[in-house]
Amino acid sequence: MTTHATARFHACTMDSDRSSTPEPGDAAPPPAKEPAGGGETDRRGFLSKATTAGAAVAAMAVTACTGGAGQADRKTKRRLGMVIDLRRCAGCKACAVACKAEHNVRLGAFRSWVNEVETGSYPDTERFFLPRLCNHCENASCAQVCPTSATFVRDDGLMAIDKDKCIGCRYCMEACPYGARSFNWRNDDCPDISRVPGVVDKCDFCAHRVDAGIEPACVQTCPAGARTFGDLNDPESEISKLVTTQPTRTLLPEFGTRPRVYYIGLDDAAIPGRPQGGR
Amino acid sequence: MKALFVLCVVGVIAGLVGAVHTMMEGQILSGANDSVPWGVDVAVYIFFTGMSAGSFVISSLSLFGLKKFKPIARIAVLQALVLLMIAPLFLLVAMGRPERFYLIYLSPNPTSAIAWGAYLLALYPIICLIYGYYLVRRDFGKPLAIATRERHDRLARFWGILGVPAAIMVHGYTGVLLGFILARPLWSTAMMPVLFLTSAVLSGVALLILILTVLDKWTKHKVEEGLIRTMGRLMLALLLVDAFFLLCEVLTGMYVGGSEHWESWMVLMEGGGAWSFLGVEVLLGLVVPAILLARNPKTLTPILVASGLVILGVFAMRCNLILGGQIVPAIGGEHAAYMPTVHEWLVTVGLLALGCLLYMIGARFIPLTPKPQAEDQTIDRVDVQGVPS
Repeated sequence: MTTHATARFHACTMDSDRSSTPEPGDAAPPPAKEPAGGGETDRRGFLSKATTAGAAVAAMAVTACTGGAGQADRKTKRRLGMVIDLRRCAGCKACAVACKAEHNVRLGAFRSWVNEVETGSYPDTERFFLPRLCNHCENASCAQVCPTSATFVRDDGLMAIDKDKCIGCRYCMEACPYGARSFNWRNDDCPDISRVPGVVDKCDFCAHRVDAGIEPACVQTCPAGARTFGDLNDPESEISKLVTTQPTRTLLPEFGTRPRVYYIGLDDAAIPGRPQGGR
Repeated sequence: MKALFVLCVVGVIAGLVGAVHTMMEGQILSGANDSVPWGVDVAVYIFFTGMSAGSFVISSLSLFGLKKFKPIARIAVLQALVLLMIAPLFLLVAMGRPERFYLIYLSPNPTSAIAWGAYLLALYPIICLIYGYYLVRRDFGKPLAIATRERHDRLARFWGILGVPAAIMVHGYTGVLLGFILARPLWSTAMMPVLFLTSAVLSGVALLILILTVLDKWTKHKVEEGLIRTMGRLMLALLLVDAFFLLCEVLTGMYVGGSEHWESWMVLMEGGGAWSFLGVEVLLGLVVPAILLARNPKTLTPILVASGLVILGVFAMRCNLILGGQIVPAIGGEHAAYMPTVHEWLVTVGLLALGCLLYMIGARFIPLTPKPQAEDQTIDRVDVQGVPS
């Protein structure tokens, strides 16, 4: 699935090292006139466009670094989301591994993981894979209950945790119906700033990568191309095209959370633990 | 008394060891995990705020015309205050970053029940203190003039009445805190604050009966037997109301077999959960005390036994709901498991001991029964000992 979008992102990462902090002149998220998904860009075209856009976005990068608050000067606010095509997922779990490596997630916890459900009995068996992660819900229960507002929604829709404000009360962990959050239980298990003791941890759509214009680690790594990430408000983006052309579902819609992770080809049987007729 | 004092000091030291070690090593020393993020600390916190609120409500009953409860107003408010000073300490030990608790006051989230609680936990003890002050001030230092005492009576009445909704909220908020969580079907019910409040007043009365008995037996604060019997009857009424609400909740929750509510309640109906719910909370905590209280006993012993069982039952109720509610995940299927660790027990014992200690110190220095005042004959004073001054 080497669309223009992924070709451009791959070009970007081959050019720069995967450092976490954006540096001045880096390819910051392109302005609205260069859509995230389409356009006749090849690698050279991208580099020339990036140079001309670089000056313009340098100023925006400064404001964009303030937690996405600078997105206001765009024509439309970004609405980041992800589509997971379960017809493509092979259950290899490379996404889970890449995510764990990217964020130095503690032992026993996952920011993104893959459920496996087997149904039926020989010879009519079936196995389902369900990649899961924080759904970055539009009406997030976690943000509703956090006492210090440590968990919050950025302007671009990304749900973040301010690890300087989290008091470790774990109310958000109770509230999240998706079980997407983990907690750093050990104070002595935090070798560097990537892991903060006594606070809650979850998928943040690789905010440090997204802010630098790269896709999340799980999206980039997936060998089957099952994951697509981008701006749902941008009609030209690949994710928007997927969402408008394919039937999608979200997990647990009855909880009213309005997740921003959409699944294509989601079978009820794939969802572990949900009452599945006859149980 | 001295032996109890020493025992409490030992308990406090044990608790300190557990608490400090936990704060150093992190929450890994508790039995909580990603599937069961809240352990027994949270349940005991709710238990203590419940008893505190219940005690305050009883203390204020005399302000609503029930003069019979006036003699125990000071004892009850001291109990309410001590319980509420200890309760937040359970939370601090359970938090990942307790040193950051003040952030709730600096950047509160208006939709977070925990944020509301932080403000209530600050406001309610202040009201307790002011109310208690106007009750006991007359027994410190120079005797007050009648006019001053009457003014204090009016102010005690004002703050006492104001304290009742504060007490209800400082415990009721924990009920809505749980009720808001759709992801936990056992918690997600409008009955949660109702159940919490009925068991709160129930446990407050029960603890008060026990403390009054201890005071009567071992200190100079004598309590009229009739008052204990009245409180026993009050406890029976509360028990029946609590049992009725619980029955409503269980019936509606379990009506549709196979539903998520049903699955959540089944955790408390089979295996270990059944021992704790049906055995302790229902049988020992509700049925047996009801039988003991329903008959009119010759001695006070059945009332005392019933009080002890009620406290045990309400404690079990808190644990069953908080811990049991986290067993079934909203998605993922596998039931979680939780077992409290030594550290959690040490902290619980330690803070209980601290509460006892604080109460004993309070009882030592605060006149729990009104002293005879100088020009007293004209004042309508209900004498605790039942004999005219």
